[in-house]
Amino acid sequence: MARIRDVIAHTDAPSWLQSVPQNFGEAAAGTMKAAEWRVLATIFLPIALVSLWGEGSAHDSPEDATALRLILDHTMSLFSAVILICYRSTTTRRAQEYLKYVTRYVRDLKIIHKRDDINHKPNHHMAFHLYDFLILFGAVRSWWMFPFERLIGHLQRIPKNHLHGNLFLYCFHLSL
Amino acid sequence: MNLVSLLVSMVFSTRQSRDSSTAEEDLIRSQIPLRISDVFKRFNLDAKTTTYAMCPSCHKGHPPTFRHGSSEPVYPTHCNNVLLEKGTCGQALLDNEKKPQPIKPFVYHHVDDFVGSLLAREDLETYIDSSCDELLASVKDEETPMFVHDVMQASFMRSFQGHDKKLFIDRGDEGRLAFALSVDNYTVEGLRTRGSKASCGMIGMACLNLPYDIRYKPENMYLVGIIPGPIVPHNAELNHYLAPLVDDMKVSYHNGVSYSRTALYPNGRTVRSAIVVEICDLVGARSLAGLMPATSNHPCSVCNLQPMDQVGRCDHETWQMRDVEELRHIAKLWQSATTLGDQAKIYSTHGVRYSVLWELEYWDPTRQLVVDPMHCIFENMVDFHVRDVLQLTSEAAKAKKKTPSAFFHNFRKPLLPDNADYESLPEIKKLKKAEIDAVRLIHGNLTQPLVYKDEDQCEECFRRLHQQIESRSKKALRFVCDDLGLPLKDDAGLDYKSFLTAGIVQWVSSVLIDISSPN
Repeated sequence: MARIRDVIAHTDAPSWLQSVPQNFGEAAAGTMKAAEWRVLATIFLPIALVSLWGEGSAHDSPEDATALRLILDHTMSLFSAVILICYRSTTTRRAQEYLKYVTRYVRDLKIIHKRDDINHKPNHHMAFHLYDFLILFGAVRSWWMFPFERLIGHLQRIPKNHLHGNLFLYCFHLSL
Repeated sequence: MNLVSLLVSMVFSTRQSRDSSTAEEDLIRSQIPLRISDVFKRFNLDAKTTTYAMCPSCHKGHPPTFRHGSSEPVYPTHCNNVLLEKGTCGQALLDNEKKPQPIKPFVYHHVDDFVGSLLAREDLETYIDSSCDELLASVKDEETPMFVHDVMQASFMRSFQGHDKKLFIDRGDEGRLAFALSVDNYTVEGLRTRGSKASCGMIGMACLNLPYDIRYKPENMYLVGIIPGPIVPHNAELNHYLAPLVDDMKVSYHNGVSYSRTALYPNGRTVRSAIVVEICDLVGARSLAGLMPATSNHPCSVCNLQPMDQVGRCDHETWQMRDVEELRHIAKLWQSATTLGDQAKIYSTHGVRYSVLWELEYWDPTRQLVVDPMHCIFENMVDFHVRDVLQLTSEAAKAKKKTPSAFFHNFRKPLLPDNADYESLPEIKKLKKAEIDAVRLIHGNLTQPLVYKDEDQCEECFRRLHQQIESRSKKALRFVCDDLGLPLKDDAGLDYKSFLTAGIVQWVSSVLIDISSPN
């Protein structure tokens, strides 16, 4: 944990990058937003985890090192899929690579983590279909929900004195 | 606005001392609008909207009627929706004020009005047409771009048909607009510890013809309506809110909408629009499409995956898509079912309910109802992996790893003071709460594994153990010694604790030697 926070605090990041809470992992950091997860998964977590578990890291025993390496590789296949899907343009090859990484991630999830509380979720299945939609509609940024969530944020911030019953018309005019 | 009005009156009052204002000045002042909505109206900027009176109970929408020559909307007083097996709903739609207003108003912004506002701008109209033309040219040349940036380049639009079975983008002289529809619920009063207190829904659209960088600017996004809270519609009730939009979109796709004048066509033109893609989170998508939730027996909106336990399947190439015509057929069956039982039966066998989007003949949930990557990947899979699988949270990091005990010994546990037998115990076994804790800690110290490689380290280990144990309270030490059958001499001053500890450590070392020797 300390290492991750260290990476978040000390990585030189361009200012346009969405900042992530430096107290990552604590309850006080609040619920992570989708955009924050994206930054974490594509930048900070790979740096931190590779330096912790990857080549050249020190562990108590060789068994630990191999186990952690497996977990790292598995985690990185998820992060690779995230990076691939975030591209601003898609190619057939990128989409296929995405599918490959997702397949590897979902297949190995229960093999590597043999715990009772880890099960496949519907979203693991839907992630496969993202491949189909990548082919059908191109880069995700034109069909993800961020712009609509922003519209919602805009609606939520309209001052309305906790009376929203009859003020829909008013909200409506203000948001136009 | 008030400020402007005030300024004007001040100007007047300075010009003519304190005389009463003239009629002309009053007229000027009265013409200054005081509310933002009046300003919009005055400059003809207000959106053309219809306020429906939604039924607070069944969510059926009631459009207003207008008496001849009046702009005052008139609504039916009670809901006339006929519910299956219940008859007419009959819920009151209006409040009891002098001028009755709808209890649950739903403001629908007409899609034709919004499209008109896009077409009134020259730059936007150029973008709208050129995006269609570029794609059509590329389809005609049979080239597929290596890099696909946008929906208007991707394979779906390359095959999406218009009303005349030609490609939708083959526009001729007309305008063609592709829209993305999004329906989502949001909380209005913030989140509380027990979840959200009140939620509203948002129906929004974005025109996909526009280039990415201006498409999502607030002025170019289309807010269809806000679904009033505090309880959002369930199941098929959502259809009532989408019905006005879908009706308009249906007409627009089939017949086209004629505008008397646009920025580029002063003599007017016909425009057709279509909803090309629906963007929702997993829950919203299912309720929008009238499909079963993702945790049900029909977990997928795209393929024929049946029971929940198959969600971990990885053989993507072999998955069968759901048959759209069949889905459409079942949805219509559900709609025309005459009893609630029939509806429930259809829903439980096929996992399909009626959705008003089926009214659009081109609608195909398996292809147009996308999985939102923001929710699916970022908020769900990454979140799940980091926090639940890898357990990278402070809570998990702080939770101390349980070190396995070096050996097991059945220590006697001291009785708590509230135990019935406590009073009858001999003095040595009567311990206070803190001392009982100390005994537990001593037991933990005794069974901890000692790791050493040579004599020096071994000595160091035992010295540390001695320190740890000696720091506990005297009574606790006596209790443990008594339990282990070690010598207890009478309290002999300062080095008494040290004596007891030495005995205990001696005991541990003998136990450890027993364990580590092969016999």
